[in-house]
Amino acid sequence: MSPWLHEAALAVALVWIALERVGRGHRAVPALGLGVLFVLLAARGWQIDFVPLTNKYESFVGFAATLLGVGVIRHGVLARPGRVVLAGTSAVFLAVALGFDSALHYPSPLLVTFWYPVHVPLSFLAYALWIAAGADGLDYAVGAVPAGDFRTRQESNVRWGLALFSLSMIFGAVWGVVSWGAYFLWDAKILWSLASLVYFATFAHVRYWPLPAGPGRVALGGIGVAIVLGTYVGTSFMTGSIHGF
Amino acid sequence: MASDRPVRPLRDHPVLAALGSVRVSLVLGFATTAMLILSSFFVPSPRGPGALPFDESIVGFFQPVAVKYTWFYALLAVTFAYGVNGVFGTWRNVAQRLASRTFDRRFSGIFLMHLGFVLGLVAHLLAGVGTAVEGRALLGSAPVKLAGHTLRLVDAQEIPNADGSLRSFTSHLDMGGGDVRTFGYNDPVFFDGFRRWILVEGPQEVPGSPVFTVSGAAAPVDGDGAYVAGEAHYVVQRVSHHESLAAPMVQLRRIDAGGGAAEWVRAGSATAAGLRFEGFTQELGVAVAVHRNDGLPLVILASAVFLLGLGLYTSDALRRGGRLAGRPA
Repeated sequence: MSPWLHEAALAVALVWIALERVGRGHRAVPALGLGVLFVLLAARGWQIDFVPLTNKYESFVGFAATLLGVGVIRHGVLARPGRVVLAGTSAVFLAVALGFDSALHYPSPLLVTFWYPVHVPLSFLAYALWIAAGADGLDYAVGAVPAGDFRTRQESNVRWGLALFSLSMIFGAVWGVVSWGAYFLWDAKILWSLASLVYFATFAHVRYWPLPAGPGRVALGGIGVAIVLGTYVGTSFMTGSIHGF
Repeated sequence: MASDRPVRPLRDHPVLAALGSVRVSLVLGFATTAMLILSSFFVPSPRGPGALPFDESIVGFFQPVAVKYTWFYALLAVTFAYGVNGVFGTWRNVAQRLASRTFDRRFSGIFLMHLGFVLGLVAHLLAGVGTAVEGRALLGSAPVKLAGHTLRLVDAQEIPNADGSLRSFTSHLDMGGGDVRTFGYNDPVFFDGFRRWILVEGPQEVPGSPVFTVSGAAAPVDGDGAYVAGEAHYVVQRVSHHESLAAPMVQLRRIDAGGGAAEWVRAGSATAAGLRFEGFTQELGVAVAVHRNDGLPLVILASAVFLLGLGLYTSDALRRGGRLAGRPA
C-alpha cells in the first residue's frame, strides 16, 4: 500500500502553509494534496471493496482529505490566516495518522450499509466547514477581512456545516436503528455530537444577539473548533465510549 | 380610546414573548450544549458496570430517582425549556409571516426545519419512555413463536470477505401466512407501523433435523415419513436440544401394530427395535432480537419534515448562488 502517498500529502499540506505565509498560496496546492489522498484512499477502498473508513488511520486520513477539500472550495473566501488554519489542521491529522497502524481491515458486517458510508463523510465535511468558520474568526481577528465579509463568510460556513451535519445525524440515526436497534444511546460521543448540532444551530441564530458581533463571533468560532475536535477526537479518550478509536 | 393596533399576544404578553424569544433561544441553546457536554463526563460506559440500557430509554433514570443522575435531570429541564422556546418561537414567526403574507420558499424551509426539530424532541421523549427489547430467539428452519408471529427461516447465507471473515448475512424469513421477507444484517424486518422490528444479532449454527441410524446405516424412511427399524415404524413427536441437557433428546412414538407409549431417546442410544438417535444436523440460523420503540414513527415523520425544510431552504440558497448566510436581522 503506497505509504509514500501519505507522506506526499503531508508534504503538500506543509508546502501549502509555507506558500500562504509568503503570500503565494493557490487553490491548486490543496487540490493536489486532496488528489494524492484520494488515490491513497481509493486504492485502500478497492482492496477491501468498501469505503475506506474502517479504522482510525483511514478516519484521520479521510478527515485530512476533507479539510483539504474544504480548503479548495473555500479558498477564495478565506484569507491567508484562515487558509493556514485549514492547512495546519490537515497536516496535524496526517502527521498523527503516520503513527497509526495502517493495516487494511475488512469492514465488520454492521458497517456494510448505505447509511454508514454516507454518515461519516457528511460529518467530516461539516466538521471541516466549522473549522473553516473558526478560521474565519482568525481572519477577522488579525484584520484580514472587514466585519461585514467576516459575518457573511462565517455564517455561510456555519450554516452549510449545520445542513450537512443534520443530514449526517439523520443518516446515522437510520444506521443505528437498522444495525444496532437504537438511533440514540447514552454514550459520550453521541452526547457530544448532539452538543455540536445544538451549538452550531444556536450559532446560526446568533445574529439576533444585541451585543457587538465581531469579537463574540471570533470567540464562538474558536469554541466551535474546540467542540468539533472534542466530538471527533476527544470523546475517544473518554472512558468506555463505544465510538472510541 | 381603543387602539387600532392588532392584538399580538405572542409579542406583547411578557411571558409569552420571553418563551418565544430568539434571545432566550440563544441562551438555552448554549446552555443545552453545555449540559450535553457536561453529561458526557457522568454518563456510564455503555459496556461497563452500571451501564444504562443500550437504547434511547430514560425510564431507568426514574427507577428510582437518584442523585447520581442529577446531570440527566438538569439536561432534561434545559432541553424541555429549549423545546418550549422552539414551539413558541416557531409559532410566533409563523403568525408574523402569515400576517405580513411573506411565506416564501426560504421561510417555509426554515419553518419546516424548526417544526421538524420540535417534533423530533417530542418523538425522542416518546422513544425514551417506550423503548424495549421485547424478546430474543434463535431462528432456524423450525417455527419459533416471537412477538406475535410464528417465525421460520426459509434460507440463510453467509457472505465472506476475501480473507474468509464474515462480511454479510442474508436470509428469507417466513413471518407466517405466506409473508416471506428478506432479512439480514442492517436489513431488519419492520412491522406494527415501524414501532417494532426484528433485528439480526448474528448468524449461528442451530440444531436442524434429527439423525437416526439402524445397524450403522442411515435409517430408512417409509412413505409417511416414519423412520423404520426392522418391523418398527417411528415418528418423532418432540425434540429437545436445550443447552442445559447433557445430551439432546427426541421423543419417538411407534406407529406400527407393536406400538406403545412414546419414549424419550438420548443421543447415542437406541430404541428396543434398534433405531439409534445420533443427534441433530447443524444448519445456519440466526440470533434475533425484537425491538420496540413507540417514538420511532414520529422520529421518522420529524426527520421527513426537517429534510423537506432543509431541501427548500438550501434550494433557495443555491438559487441565490450557494450562500446560506442569513439576511440582515
